[in-house]
Amino acid sequence: MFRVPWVCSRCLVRPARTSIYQGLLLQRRTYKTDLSPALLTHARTLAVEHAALSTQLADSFDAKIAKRIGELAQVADTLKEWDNANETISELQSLLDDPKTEAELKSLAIEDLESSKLTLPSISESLKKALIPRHPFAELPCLLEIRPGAGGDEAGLFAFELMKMYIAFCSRRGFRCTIIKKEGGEGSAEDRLSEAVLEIETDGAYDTMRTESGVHRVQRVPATEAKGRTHTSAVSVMVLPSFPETGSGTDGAHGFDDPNSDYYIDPQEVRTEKMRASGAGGQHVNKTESAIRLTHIPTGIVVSMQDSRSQHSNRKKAWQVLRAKLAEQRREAREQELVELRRGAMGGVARMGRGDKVRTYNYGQSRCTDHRSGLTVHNLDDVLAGGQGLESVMDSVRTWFGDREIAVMTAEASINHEVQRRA
Amino acid sequence: MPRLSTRTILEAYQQDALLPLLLRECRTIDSARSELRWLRQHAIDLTQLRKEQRYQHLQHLQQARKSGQEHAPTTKQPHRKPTHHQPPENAPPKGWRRTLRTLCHARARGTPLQYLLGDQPFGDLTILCQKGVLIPRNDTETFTYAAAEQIRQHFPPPKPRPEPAFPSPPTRTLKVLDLCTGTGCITLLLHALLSPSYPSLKIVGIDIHPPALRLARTNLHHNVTLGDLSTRATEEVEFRRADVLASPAAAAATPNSHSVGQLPALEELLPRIPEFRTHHPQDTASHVLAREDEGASEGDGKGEVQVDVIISNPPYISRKAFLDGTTARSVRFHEPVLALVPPSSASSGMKSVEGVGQTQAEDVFYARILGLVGGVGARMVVFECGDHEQGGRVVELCRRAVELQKLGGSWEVGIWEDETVVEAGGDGEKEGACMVVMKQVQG
Repeated sequence: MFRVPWVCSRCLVRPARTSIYQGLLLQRRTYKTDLSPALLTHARTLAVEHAALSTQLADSFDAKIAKRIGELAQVADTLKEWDNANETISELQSLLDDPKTEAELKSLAIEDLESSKLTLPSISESLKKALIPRHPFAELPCLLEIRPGAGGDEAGLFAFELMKMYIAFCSRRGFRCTIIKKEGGEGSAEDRLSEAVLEIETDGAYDTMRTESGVHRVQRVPATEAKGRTHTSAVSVMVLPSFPETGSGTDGAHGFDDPNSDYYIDPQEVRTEKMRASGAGGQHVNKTESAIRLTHIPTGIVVSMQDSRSQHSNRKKAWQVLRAKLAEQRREAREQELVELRRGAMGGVARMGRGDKVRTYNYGQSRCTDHRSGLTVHNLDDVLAGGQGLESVMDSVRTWFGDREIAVMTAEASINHEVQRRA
Repeated sequence: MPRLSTRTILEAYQQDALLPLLLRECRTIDSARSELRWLRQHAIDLTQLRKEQRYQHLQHLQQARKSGQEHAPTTKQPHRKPTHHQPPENAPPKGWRRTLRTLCHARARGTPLQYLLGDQPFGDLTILCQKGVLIPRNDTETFTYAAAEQIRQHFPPPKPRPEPAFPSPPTRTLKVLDLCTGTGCITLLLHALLSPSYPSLKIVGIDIHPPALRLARTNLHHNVTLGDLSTRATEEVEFRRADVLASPAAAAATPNSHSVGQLPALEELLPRIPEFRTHHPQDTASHVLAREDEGASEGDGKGEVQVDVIISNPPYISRKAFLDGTTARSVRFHEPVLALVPPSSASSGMKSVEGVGQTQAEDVFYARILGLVGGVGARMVVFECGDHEQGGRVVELCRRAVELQKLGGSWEVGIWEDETVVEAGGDGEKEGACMVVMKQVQG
């Protein structure tokens, strides 16, 4: 007789499950990877521009031109590589097609042809990467604003956890991170937020963190729930560029004092309010009230700051946040314009704004899913500790950003191509 | 002061049991909550510090005992309960709640928050505070920033040379005198604000109170150590003791008063500061005006001193305003009267000051300082005043000083206004402290 020892079904499943836990489930949506002729034409025009600017720079130095050349250099170099590879391939091909070629040479040519054909995809991949325009704020440090959305107390609790997650992430990555504003809700409960602003002072932090902008959804049984029901609440995270102090910035694009700059803020348009009780001032009283509220009148953006005991430093921080918010808003507006233009041409391009749900943290299933890249990580604790899990999610989103950018660019370039051909 | 409503107190209590205590001084829940946050952080830091100190002390004792009985077998190990449960790394130390409660009770009795916390941020600096020395106010911070801006406009800083390879000619030193400096806050912040644009500076803070001077010097080193002040400050900032009100006549009567132990008057002290003397021949040539003024003031030997800017936040509360409830309880009971109310020896009623004429008792400092302007050749004077009424009186004093001392050139006197700031909570009327600026526009 068969005597099979009794084995719990769960134990049978477990080995399979651990592999799921360890290997992150990758379900990335990828776009087509081959280089379209339209994109290639685009790259060629950029390379021509690069060459023209280089000769111009040889005559007279200009910081702006030098910067533009730096941006284009990679495209030009990769394009050259691509051309070289293609040339080799065509030469080898002609060698093969030639009936007079010796057999020995032919076998060598076949080997060479194979190896050069293998390098082609990687070159085209890097060419595409080079073609993605740099984000205007990519090199800047950033501000991270966390606000609870729908979900009441539970949202505040989760907002606090998100803040801890980002702080842990920053310390793991070696980013300098300070809390410049932290407001708890009603009462002195330490573990819930009504608003928090983190400043991440490392250059390039904006590029790293910009995958985090959007609405983060949490599904769990909250600590405040008596009947064990799962709640869904939302926390919105906003990543804002943090600009260097005025005066030190030589960068024309981010000048605030220059009225022609995109990010110029007219001080006349900002109302500063000091929270101050009426009555005597100066030496007569010793008020510790140091809150400052800035209102940008044209847009109605209000920033209030009361964390520091010094009115001056509150005002400085409030200005920093206000500037960041306005810059982000203006950039978004411009992006929106572009999207409108594209939509007219190609009928709808997905755009993720900060109003869209980007990620779900599900405690019951211990998973974290990003809705943009479609990546699911089954180790929620690691994600919330700002560990490798979070990093892989962020990486997947960054890749998704790149893919999407390329898709848009390809579509646009092919439309231009079409238009030119018809004309 | 209106009574706190029961509802407010209850609401505060529901948020935190300690809030009603703070409410007695703060009057609004928002501000009480902020204070509670700062106090909590301080309590945690303080407890941690004490714990470390105690630990170090214990270790020290143990080492001493060990060295005492080198050869005796040390069987007695300090017995410790085995702990299964380690507290997390950054958990607040035990006992901080008790510290916090003590702090809150002290605050409820009116002790200023800055005395409890030990410091007050002032601009980018951290000014240490100590009982017996006036706490820097937010208003003063605003005024110091404005004053620095005015100074930069009035004395255009030398243009940075594009090629530092050339030996630059010795630049003129900007000389600033801060009277009644207290914690040294104005002196230090001015240095922090002006030093990037002026290659050479000299700022001297004067006070009468030795503990204040000691604190001011500590503050100087504290901020240099923190890196908020450039190391130039140790050379360019100085604190000296003098009696601002001491009349020059009395000083003249006892020429070597410093050896007798009496405080030097300003007229005596200033020539002793080498940077303020105009001994360079080429320098004197460029200050003919100042020399003429000295000639006008009978050339009594006190001359040969030149200062560009005088800034002061002197005691300005009148005897009446100190007692009738205008001055807050916390200020009256816990901050030094010396720094708030001009001395009573300058008896009530009108008083005559040389070079300015009759003044009210609470304005006596302004009058006395204005009397100096001609003697030192200052081209800009900045005062903090208690309210706009006093500001108006000081403006009047300034005009009279220009007339009586026959100060050359034309002078502009006015109350400085911050146009960009709206004061929430105020009823639109001009309330609170103000800043009077007097500057020579030509001459």
